[in-house]
Amino acid sequence: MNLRSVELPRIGPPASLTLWLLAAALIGAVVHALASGAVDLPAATVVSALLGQQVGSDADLVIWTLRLPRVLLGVIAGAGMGIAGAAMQGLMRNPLADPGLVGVSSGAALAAAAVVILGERAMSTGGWAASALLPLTAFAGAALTTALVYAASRRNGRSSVTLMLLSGIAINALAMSGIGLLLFMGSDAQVRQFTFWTLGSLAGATWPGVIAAAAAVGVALALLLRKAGPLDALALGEAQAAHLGVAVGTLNRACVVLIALSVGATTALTGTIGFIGLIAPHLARRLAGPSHHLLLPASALAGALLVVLADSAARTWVSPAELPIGVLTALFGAPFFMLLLRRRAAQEH
Amino acid sequence: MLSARHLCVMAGQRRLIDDVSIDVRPGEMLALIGPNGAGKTTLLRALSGDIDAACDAVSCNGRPLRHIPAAELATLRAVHAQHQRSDLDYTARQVVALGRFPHHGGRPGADDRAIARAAMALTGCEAMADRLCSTLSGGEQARVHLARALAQIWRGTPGAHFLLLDEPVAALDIAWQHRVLACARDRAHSRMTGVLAIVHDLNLAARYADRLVLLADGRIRADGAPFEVLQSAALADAFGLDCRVWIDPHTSRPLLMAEPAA
Repeated sequence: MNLRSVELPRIGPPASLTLWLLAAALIGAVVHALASGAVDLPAATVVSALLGQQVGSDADLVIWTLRLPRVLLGVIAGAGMGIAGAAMQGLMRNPLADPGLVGVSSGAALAAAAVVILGERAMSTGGWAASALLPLTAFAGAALTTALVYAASRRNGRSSVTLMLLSGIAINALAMSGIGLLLFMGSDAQVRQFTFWTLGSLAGATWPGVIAAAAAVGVALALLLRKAGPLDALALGEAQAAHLGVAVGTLNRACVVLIALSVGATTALTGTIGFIGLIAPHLARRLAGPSHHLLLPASALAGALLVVLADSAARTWVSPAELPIGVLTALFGAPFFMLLLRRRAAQEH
Repeated sequence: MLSARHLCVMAGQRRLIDDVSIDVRPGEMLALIGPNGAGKTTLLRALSGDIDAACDAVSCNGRPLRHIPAAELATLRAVHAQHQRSDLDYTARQVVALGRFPHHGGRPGADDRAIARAAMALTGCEAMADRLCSTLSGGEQARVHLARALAQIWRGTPGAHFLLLDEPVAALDIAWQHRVLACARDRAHSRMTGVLAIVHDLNLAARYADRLVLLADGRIRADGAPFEVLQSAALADAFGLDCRVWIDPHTSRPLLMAEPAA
């Protein structure tokens, strides 16, 4: 029999093309985001500026100082949340897992808010230690909640969807009350930050922040991509994966840490932008199929694309005012989640 | 050889497996029989390396399981579990290719795909290769997972690899029950695989196995050729049956007719 003749027929574009298409769409969205805003620039100017050509000092300022850090932060945060969502769904063998829904983002936001409000003195000393403090605490908060949800949703070596979502509700409520309590103790200016932590924003993007987030998400991305094979095997169940030689305990712990790193770093800088970790992997699964070799990178690209598009819309729809990006993602994400729940219920009966 | 020596498995205060010694020999098909709750699945899990506390009492090719890394063990033995996840979004072909994971560690190569196809042919899965597992019937899914287990040890070193099957025919129609057990026996004889299969139908077990091991209350009550074990008082006692055994002149295999003891 010819080895090539009976390959898996694919629906939609070939697998590798899917990644290129998503990447191309992302580049298009980035250029569009850089071109649009209070001052509209021609796309050609943006492309020339990105290629290092002089396009005039005003356009340079707008692109390099005002818009690019923000758009890049969107790309990094979206990629981080997309891959964290895909990894979490693989880890829990459950397509409804999302770092936001199960409270990982809130845990990170609570830890970050605690640093901002309680650790004001430590932050004001400045220096690298102070700027590293925020992402590190957010990472710790995310790691703690990921481990908590993971432990709470497991029963007899299996993860239960109901337990996961219910413990997510509890953790979200707990974190929100914690953030509320901190703000009660904080100053007026800090209270205004409440919307930042709960609804998210890319407005505070700075180059140091972008670099810190890129480092954290880059590490998480690179290491999670290497777990694609074991995550595929894990889909069969923990015992079956172990029979195939997967060190299940190590894999679980590594995924928890990497998901927390990715979500913690982005949440520290963007607040909680909901539902990206849910929608991006579903979009990616539709385009690239369930195998994690393609699903993980496709989820990262889809997440980046969604966040950049959502942020462009948030900046321009009610210009000169600005919508919180989390409002937009929730507006589309929540009905999407309801749809997934209904479809799942239909499958079960 | 895959062996347990003086194996005990506890669940709280209860002894699920009580001082069991058993050898799964290469080139031999062994059927593990016994009443419900006898500890058959627990014994199979202990031999698979699933039960951490049992890893000192079980050895594979002379090495205690404790000292064999998981990745290496996966190239030496394949396990077909009784229950499989039924809502998998992978195609049958992808699931069978996962059986090659210990050998490729990530993406299956052309060789792995060819092995997966050959394994699927043995359990009659070619026609459903591109269907999602979640859309297959229970029996079809069982055959897909059997093909995965076969693919895992397809090129195992003769005499040094093992296939552990927990009720492989429970969900299958009668034709596939025969085909699957015949296939397992043929792997044992032609590839020198050591096969252990848990089988409830005693006549099927006696028809295809080279050796029967009877487990009851966590202990081995009988171990030997099918004819001896079916005739043994231990079997009648373990199941509470009145048994009559004769030889099928066509296959020369023992046949059992049993009814509950008065």
